[in-house]
Order: sequence, then structure tokens, then C-alpha cells
Amino acid sequence: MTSSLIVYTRIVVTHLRSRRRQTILSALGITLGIAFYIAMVSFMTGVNQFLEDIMLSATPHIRLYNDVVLDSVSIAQRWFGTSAFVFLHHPKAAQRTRAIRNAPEIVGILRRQQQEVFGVSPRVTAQIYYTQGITEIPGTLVGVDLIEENKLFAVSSKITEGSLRNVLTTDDGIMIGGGLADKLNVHVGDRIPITLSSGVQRLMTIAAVMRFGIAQIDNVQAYTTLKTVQRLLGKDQRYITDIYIKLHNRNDAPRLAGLYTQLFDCTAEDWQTFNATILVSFTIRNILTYAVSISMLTVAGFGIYNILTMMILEKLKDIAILKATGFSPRDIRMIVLGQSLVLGIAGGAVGMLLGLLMSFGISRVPFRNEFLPGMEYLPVDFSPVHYVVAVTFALLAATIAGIFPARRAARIDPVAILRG
Amino acid sequence: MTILRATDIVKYFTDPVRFQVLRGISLTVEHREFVSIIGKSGCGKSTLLYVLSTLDTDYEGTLAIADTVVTGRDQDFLAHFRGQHIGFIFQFHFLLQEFTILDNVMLPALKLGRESPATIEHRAMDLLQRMGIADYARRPAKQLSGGQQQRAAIARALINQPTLIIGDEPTGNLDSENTAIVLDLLDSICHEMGQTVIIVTHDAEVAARSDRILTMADGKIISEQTLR
Repeated sequence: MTSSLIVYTRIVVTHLRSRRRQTILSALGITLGIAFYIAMVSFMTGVNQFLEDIMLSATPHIRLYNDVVLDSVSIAQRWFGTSAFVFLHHPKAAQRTRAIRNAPEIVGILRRQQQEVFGVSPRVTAQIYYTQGITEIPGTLVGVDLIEENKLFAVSSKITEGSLRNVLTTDDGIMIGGGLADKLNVHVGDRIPITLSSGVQRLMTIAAVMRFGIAQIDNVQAYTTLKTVQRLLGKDQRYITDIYIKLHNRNDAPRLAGLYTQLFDCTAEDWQTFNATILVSFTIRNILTYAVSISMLTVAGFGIYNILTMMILEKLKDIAILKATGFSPRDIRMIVLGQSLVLGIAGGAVGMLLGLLMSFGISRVPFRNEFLPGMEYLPVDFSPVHYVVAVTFALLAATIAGIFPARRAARIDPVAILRG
Repeated sequence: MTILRATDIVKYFTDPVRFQVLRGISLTVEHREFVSIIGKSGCGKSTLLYVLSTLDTDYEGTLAIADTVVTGRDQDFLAHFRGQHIGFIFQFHFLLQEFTILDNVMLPALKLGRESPATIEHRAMDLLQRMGIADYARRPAKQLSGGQQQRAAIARALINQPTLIIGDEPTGNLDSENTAIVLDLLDSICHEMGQTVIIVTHDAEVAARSDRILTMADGKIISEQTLR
């Protein structure tokens, strides 16, 4: 077997070397396919990761809240059990209270789960109108524990005007979203009247402007302290409407969300669920990338197929001689396949290098956008997984491209050729 | 000792029309015999040779070489069998043009894998020495003349110390000087090295150097003449 390998190698190498230009050209097909594949996938994954990071920078991994529930079982049904038929027409959804029951205790329990939970931020939200002259702009006022919120979402890095300390030290100070500030034409130090759905009005002071790069926050929300909102709503300190949780490992979210739902008598939602549409768009983008790349590699595979078929037609005589001198159809098959694999491996190796260079080039292209704070260059993911996949593809393409010419060569009838 | 025994070999060509090329040929070849087959072109002598060489498997009858029935065996078996037992010399030298002379001679032995590459190389060089072309061993085949290439082909045929050497018009493409050299070589490998040789030729002078001449016509052996 080893001696066969030596012979195969000798023949493969000699044949490829004797037609250097064709060899290089067909390997180049694989090289370019692999290089573009790596560059495209690295870039696309980089973008996906960047967007995912932005998205997750402002969203919790798990969100606890009281959902609107429709009681499907009426009190009467509960009383009579299965011994009676109870018909209830048009039951209405009832939310007894928006607040989470025993919220401070839940926060306390969660904060002790330090192995899994990175941080917990309780919040109170209130629907409000910002009034500016005669216009009223709807929005949300969010009361948060600013210190904890900063730990979870790096809020202070998103502040473009004012500071976190300013919010904490200003009476009725709010930190307003950038889009909202532009629309209302307000700056730090300005005062702005707000109206609650209950009709209560109050004058708030702009203490900071934040820009997350996410329209749902920047154009709608303003942050202030928990206490401020609780007071505005006329509620006590136990009134918490949402609890945001960040985990050490975000992939634990679905499992823990299920656990918390059972444990805390409230709804726990993981980030995958409330960002489902965004995640689907990531998947579709990935599918597109792979589709384009696989087509490129298929084209490269056809290049190899062509060159091998040509080589076989040119080498009919050689194949006949080899067969006459003790080489079996299997040997011939292995030699042609070997040539294909050498082309695939050589082309793939150079392609990986080229792909790395191209990825590096992309990562040096400056790209700034006001809606994507934090991006200075095009994002590229340099994960080795892409390279492993690329090499696998290259070998696969080369093998498939080699199989048919190899079988064709193995079937050649030496008598017809040797007799001329 | 009988090296080759063919019994009632019948073969048809089907293209363009069905035509019987070999009409029941039986023959035996003994150890160390130098047999030549002659006849007009189209009499079926080359066809018979390719059947005897195991390359052509599309025939009726039975063929046994070195006490092994090869009729009906699969291609992988036959390839290995050829490597072990049969050495080829063709009319148009048929070396692998991009390989060196030495590689050409060594390849069948490397493939057979009975010995180490060093041993094989040593024997290949010995053979090339004997053929008088040792100086060209490291040259690509395409740089050599036809006569030199044919001598290299004889060395290749001998590398595995085969049971049987088969030559299809081995001198058909050579000038008279090279024909003489090649014939001397065939003579010596047969009578000094103890090889069994079967060749096909239409050259009466070449046939005259062999031990036995079989004359073919219309797919049959019509006469047999023992010279030695």
C-alpha cells in the first residue's frame, strides 16, 4: 500500500509539473473561490456579530414582566369542577396590576445567583407625552437603578451630552434619547413638560442625552431614577414593572427563562424570543452568503473537472501503458483523484492565505455612521471556523470534480490505444 | 515446462460488422522459448498477441499463463498479474514521455512493490547498462532517439523478471542498425537470461532469429516451423 502511494505521488507530481500553466490556472479557480468565500463569510459574520452586539447592548438576556393574561377558566368553573358545564361568553383579558409581585425579593434572589446572572436591573415604565409648544410627542419614561443599569448596558458610554452623575444629582433630571432630543430641540439644562396617561403633568430637566443606535430607544425613551417614576405614578417603592437580567452566557437565556416563569409567578422572556425577527434576518443573510460561496466553489470545481478531462484525453497513451505494465483500473482512478486533490489542497491553502489578507483589508476600510455608534472600520470576524469550512469545501469540490474523470480514465481500453 | 497454454481461442470484431478474427487457435509456449508469429496484416496476429497478453479479455476459449487460468478474471487481478508475469515491448516505444528513462523502467516494479526502491533502482541501472543507455538514465524519455527509447522499453519489460515477454512488432519502427541492436538484445535476454519471448512481426529476417515461427492466415495458424 505504501509503495503504491509512493508511485501514485510520483506520477501525480510529474504529470502536474509537466503542464505547470494549466495546473496553476485550475488551482487558481479553487484559490479564488476559497479566498472570496473566506472574505465574504468573515465580513458577513462580522457585521452580524456587530449588529447582534448593538442589539444586545441595550436589550436584556431575560426580561421579567406581568403579561396580560386571559383567564380561560372562570371562577364558576373552578367552583363546580367537572361536574357542571359552565358557559362564559366573551371573557375579557384582565391585568390585575402591571407590577411584578414581590419584585424586590425576586431581585434579591436573582442577585445571589452569581454563577449564572451577571446583573439585575429593576425598572418602572410609564407611558407619557412630551409637550413642546402645541405638539405632543408620545414616549416612554423609564425609571431605572442607574448604577445597575450602567453596569448591564454601559449606559455612560452611550451618553453624548451631559453625564450619568448629572442625572443622579439633578432634581427630576432625565436622560433623553438622541432622536427625541433632536425632535424636541432640547439640550442639557433645558426643561420640558411631560404628561402622564393619568393626566398628571410635571416639568422635567434634561440632564443628559444618550444615543444607543437603536431607534426604539433613541426616538422614544427617556431614563430617570426609579423613585422619580414611582412618585409620578403615585406608587410605593415596591412597584416594579420590569426586571431586566443579564447573564454571563447569553445562550443560557431560554433555559433560565423557563425556570423563572415557574418560580416567580410572572412572564420571563428570553432575548431570542423577543428578537426572533432579527435573528431570522441573520439566518437568511448567512444562507445567502453560503449560497454565493458554494456557487463560486462549484465553478472552481468545474475548472478542475475540465483540466482533468483534458489531461486524460492528452494522456490516453500513458494510461494505456500504465495499464499494460501492471496498473489496475483502481490505481488509475487513485492517480487521477490524487491530481484533483493536490489541486484542491494547493489551491485551498493559497486561498486561505489570500482570504486572510482580504479579510484584513476589509477590516481596515473606514466606515462611520451616526446610527451605528462604535463602528470605525468595517467589522470582520476572524474566527478559524470559516477557514476550516473553506478547506472542507475545497477538498469536497476537488473530490467531486475528480471522481468522473477518474472513473473515465479507469475505464479506458488499453488495447484500442496501444494498437493505434 | 509450459509457460503459456491457449486453447481454442475464438474472437469476433463487432465493429463495423461482426467478423471472426480468430478461428480457434491453440498453442503452447515452453520455458525459454523465443516464438515469433508472422502473417499478412489483417490475419489476426496482433489480435492474438493482445489476447495472450491478457490486455484483451473479450474472447472465447481458455488461456493459462504460468499455471494460472487468466480467462474470466477481473481487471484488478489481471493488472497485478501482468505486473508480475508479463513484460511488454510495443512497436512505438511507448515510454511515458515526461518521466526520466530510469523512472520509466522503475515504475512497474515500484507498483508491484515486491522490493525496496533502492533494490529496484539498482536493478534498473543494471538493465540500462546492459541495453547500453545507462548514461541517459536521468534524462526525460522525450529527449532520446527512437532506438534508445525502444531499448529503454526492453529494460522496462524486464524489470520485474517476468515469466513472459510479449513484443508487438518490436522492430517495426526502427532503422536497420537499431533493429539489429534490438534483435541482439532479444536474443540475449532469451538465451542468456532465460526469458520466454513471444513477438509478432512481419519481417522474415526478424522471425529467422527465433526458435519457432508460427504463420497465421485468416485467423488460424496454418504452419509451424521449428528452427532450433
